[in-house]
Amino acid sequence: MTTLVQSQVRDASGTRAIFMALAFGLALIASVGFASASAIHDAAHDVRHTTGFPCH
Amino acid sequence: MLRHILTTALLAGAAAGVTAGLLHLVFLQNILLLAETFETGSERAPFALLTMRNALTVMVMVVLYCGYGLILAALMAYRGQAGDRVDVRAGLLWGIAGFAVVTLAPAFSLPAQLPGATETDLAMRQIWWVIFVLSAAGGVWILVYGKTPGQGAVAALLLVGPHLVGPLLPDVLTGSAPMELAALFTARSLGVGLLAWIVLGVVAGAVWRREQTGPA
Repeated sequence: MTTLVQSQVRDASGTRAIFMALAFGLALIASVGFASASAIHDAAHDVRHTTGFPCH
Repeated sequence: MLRHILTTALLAGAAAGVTAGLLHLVFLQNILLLAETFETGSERAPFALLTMRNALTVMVMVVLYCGYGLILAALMAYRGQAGDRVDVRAGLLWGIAGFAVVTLAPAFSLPAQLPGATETDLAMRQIWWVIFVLSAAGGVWILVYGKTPGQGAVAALLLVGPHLVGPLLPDVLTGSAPMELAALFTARSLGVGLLAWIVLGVVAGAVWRREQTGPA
């Protein structure tokens, strides 16, 4: 019983960490690859071209 | 868990981003700058401006690969929970799979373009990019972890299907750069992408293993 509860707690915190990392990663990728603000576009311009993100 | 994921993602992302940035500067940047002279008919930008631009490119590349690294490490953690062994060899396979999903799959219908390529609707291409990547991610995942022939068929459909209905070439093509430049740029962008993803996967696998076995 104790083991079961502990493993459920560990799984819950692991799952939360996985979702946080996924969300943070998607936010970084979206800002480099898709954000249209001109400062971001200009800084990321060459990266977008070379990594295959549609740029203009 | 979160600390392991962050350490893995940021170390691997930094290594892969610097690799991608340097390879870009050596193999791709000159082609891109040459294409811009065809696009605008003007001379190359002065050296000082280029230095700033190149530094930004390497930094942004690190940010991008840290983003990829976070997704990769999160998925490694998920599979690790399910009992998979995560090490350098597994990292290599993860990296190659990541390249296939994020770089090769969208490039099949939306190849890396030089400045001055025929302009088509940007938002539409961005939506297709996301569709290609998500469907390829699903396809590769099912291909690796699926067990039945039916699942294999679903994987094949996810990998190929979107490209059957995906964006078409415009009727009138007005790209300004010579095709030799465009072909070289697209091919090298895939090569650089593969190398950077291999670095990302291998470093992530190594760091994850170390974090797992080392003192907590």
